[in-house]
Amino acid sequence: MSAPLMSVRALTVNFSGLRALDRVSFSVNPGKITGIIGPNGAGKTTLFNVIAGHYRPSGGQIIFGERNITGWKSDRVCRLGISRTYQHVRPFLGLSVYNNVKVGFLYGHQAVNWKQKELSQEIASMLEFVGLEGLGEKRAEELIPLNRKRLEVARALATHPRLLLLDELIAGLTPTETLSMMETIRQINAKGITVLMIEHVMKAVMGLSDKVVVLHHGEVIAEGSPAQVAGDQAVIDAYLGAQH
Amino acid sequence: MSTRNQNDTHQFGEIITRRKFITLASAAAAGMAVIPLGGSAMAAKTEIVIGATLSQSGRFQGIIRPFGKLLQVWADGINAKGGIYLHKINKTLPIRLVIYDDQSSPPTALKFYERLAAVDKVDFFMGPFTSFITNAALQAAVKHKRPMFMVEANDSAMFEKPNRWRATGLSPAKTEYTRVVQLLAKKGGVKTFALLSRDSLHENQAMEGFGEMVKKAGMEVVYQKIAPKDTRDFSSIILAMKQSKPDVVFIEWIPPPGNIGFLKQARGLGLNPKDVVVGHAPVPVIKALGRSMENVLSALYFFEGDSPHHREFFAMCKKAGFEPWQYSEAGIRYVTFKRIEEALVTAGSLEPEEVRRAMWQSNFSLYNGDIRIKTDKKGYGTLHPWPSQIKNGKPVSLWPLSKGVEIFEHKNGQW
Amino acid sequence: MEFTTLVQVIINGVLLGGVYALAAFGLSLIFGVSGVLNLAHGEFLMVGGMAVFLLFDALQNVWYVNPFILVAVVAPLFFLVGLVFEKALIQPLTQRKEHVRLASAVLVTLGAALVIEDVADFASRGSQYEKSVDFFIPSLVIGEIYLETNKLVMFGLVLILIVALFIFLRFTYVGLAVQAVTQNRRGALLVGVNTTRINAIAFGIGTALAAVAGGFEVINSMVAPNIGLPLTLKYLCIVVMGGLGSFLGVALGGVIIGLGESFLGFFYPAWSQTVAYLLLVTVLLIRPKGLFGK
Repeated sequence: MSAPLMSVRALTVNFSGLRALDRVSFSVNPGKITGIIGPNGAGKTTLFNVIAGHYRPSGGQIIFGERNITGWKSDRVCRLGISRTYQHVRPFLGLSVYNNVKVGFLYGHQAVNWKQKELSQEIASMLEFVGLEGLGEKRAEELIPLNRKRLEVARALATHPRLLLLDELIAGLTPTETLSMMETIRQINAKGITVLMIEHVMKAVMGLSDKVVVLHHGEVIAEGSPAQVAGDQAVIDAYLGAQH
Repeated sequence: MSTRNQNDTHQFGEIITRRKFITLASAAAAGMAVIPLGGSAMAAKTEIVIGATLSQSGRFQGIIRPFGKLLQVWADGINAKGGIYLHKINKTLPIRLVIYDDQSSPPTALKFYERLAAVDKVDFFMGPFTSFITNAALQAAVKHKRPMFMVEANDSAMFEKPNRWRATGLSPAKTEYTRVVQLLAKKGGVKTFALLSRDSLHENQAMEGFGEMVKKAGMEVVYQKIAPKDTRDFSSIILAMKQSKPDVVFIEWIPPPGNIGFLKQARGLGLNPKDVVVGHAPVPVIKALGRSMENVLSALYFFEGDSPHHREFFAMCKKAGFEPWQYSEAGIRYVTFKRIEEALVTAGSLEPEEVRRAMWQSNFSLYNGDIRIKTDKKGYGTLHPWPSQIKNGKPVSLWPLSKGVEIFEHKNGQW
Repeated sequence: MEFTTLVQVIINGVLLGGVYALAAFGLSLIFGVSGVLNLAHGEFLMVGGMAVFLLFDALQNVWYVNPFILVAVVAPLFFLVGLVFEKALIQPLTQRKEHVRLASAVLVTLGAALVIEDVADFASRGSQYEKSVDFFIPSLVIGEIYLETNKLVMFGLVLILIVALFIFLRFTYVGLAVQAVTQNRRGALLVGVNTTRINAIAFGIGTALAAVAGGFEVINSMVAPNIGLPLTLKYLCIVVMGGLGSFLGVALGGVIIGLGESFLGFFYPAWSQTVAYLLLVTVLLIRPKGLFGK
């Protein structure tokens, strides 16, 4: 078992008295897909926000590779190799699809001095990869929701991340779209990119993940293979309880 | 008989006592009539303390700059002769000035006038620059019952309600440009006038008065408007003026900034009247317009001459480090100094009520009788400026009228 | 109104609007990129104008320099001033939460504006309060229409600067980053854009534009320590009217207000300075997000 790509240790986040994350610890193995599940309000998005550098945790550490990146700002985190998509997508609405992806290439983890022609080719193949070929000239604000999600992924991938955080990519998609997106995620992973995904759609999480971490009330209540987690009593109780 | 004897003795005692009492009382009364009440306080006075604020910072600083020095030059001049003789207390007392910076702001001015009265215990006030600041400062004069010799203040807002504690040397704002209109009327060759003023009470009244005097002299006002104080671009106003085809264009704007924009843009847009009258044309305006200022008409609070008062005034300015035309309001300050000197001599003491009354009784002439400074029933004075014309970057007096009309050259649209 | 006069009023309005747009662009850029409403913007205009005047005045006797050249010299200096201002006063604010940031920015920049005005006032003692350069090139006269050369040159420079800005935003990598940050700050951070550096660049450009506008004022009219805040207010009007973050909106807003002031100045000058606010309210009633707001 190789060393984890990222590990989170005793991560705690307080929002004026409310404990959103309470000493959360888990690790993400390189080249694998790790899923994060839990009832609403469990703290999943907060976890992503802290890892991606939107705010500092109140306590604990985040170790990526050999670096302690606790408290690093988002752009620095990205340049180190962690990218993230948002549940409520955040494209550059006024820019074209092409330019949205271009920004990722220019400023991300492997921002190099692109030659104009090379860059164009890279952007074109990226668009094709996520299923947005032919839409390069459209403004982001003209895209339908599914394509906006694809754009979000393309832009994140353009930054050449080592670790990709996917925030509820599959929520709200039709069954066909879900299968398509799941395939895309597999292909991303196949390129060697480690994936950490928050998901509510159980079929997707269980079908894709090598490992699952379960959060409830800001705490990790289970960690293991999909099958192990599915049978865990604490997890079952948490979900049943949440249904009230 | 015996009772009468006893009564006599009693009455005699009483009579003696009463007589004594009456004598003593009469002597005391006679004494008090000779020595004024609070005589010991007055006897302790060693100087005449005059309080004032000057706009040493803020937007009027450019107009007021050397006046701190000027005031001091005046006081030093008086003190070099020992001071002013106050006949009621039989003393010659020197002048001491207490001056604060009102920052061109009415509330700040009021604060300092209060302080001058309560803390510095001045005998009376010299007013601040400009009507609207004076209006605020007057409250201190009324509250502390100290007379204020208003200086550069003459718009009607302060004179609507009677106020015994203030009087100005200036004639009402409406009459400000009397002599300028006189000159233009006498010179002739101009019939139509376009007028513009900054939207402020003093400027509006000066412009209104100008217009009324123009009409009274048989000439015509073809354009008369007020512009907001923040106006920086006068292009449309200038176009409207052009349309009305004026012989003379007049602008009244304190502080000068509006003048600079207006003149530059008038020049650029081809507004070429026979004459341009700029109410206030101090150094920054002359510098900014350069040669284009040639033959622009303006007004100064003094005129060139050789009378003893002229010489005294010019010497004071020189000692304070400036030439009178650079800060023409010095002329108003000079008149104020004379008013104060006269009032103190008339009052003969520093009793606020005496000084106050004397302030209202001012009546003296200056500049070889060219002007008589008097105070009217409302508290207005009689000083308004004399016409001048810019020649080679400097204003030249156009006075007396006959001489002025000869020196005066029409601008004839030459920028 | 005669026809030539009408044409002249319109031309004046457009020329005026162009210069308004220049300073408003700077304000809009700063707000769009960093989310900071820079109430000290007008002060930078004033100080820029003062700088041009001081140079002109100092050199005048030795070497009569065209003040427009001095403007070109002063502008890059003010790019640096903007960088420093941003680093010193604004960066600390960006640590705060978004909803607090706007309020803090307003207070901090307002405070800075008052301090700058005070310093300028103090520095003016011993010299004149209002500053203006004596520079005049005769107007271009076409029939009865007078085109003030100064204003034509200014308008031309404004167009050049706007085109330069456009090229910068559309065709450079940094320009692309600026656009990205303007449209979605979080998104830009996520893809590795150093928004701190982009903020600084926006402040630098915005302040340089303000200084250029200040140079124009000192040529066409005058600058004095107290002109800053009223001008900032007017530019805010233009920025809000045009729609926050839209440059086309600012250009259009500037011209609309320029024309409005021009027409009102002709008929009812007493209202010419309030027209900006009246137009703002009117536009916002019809389009609440401004002309091209997002």
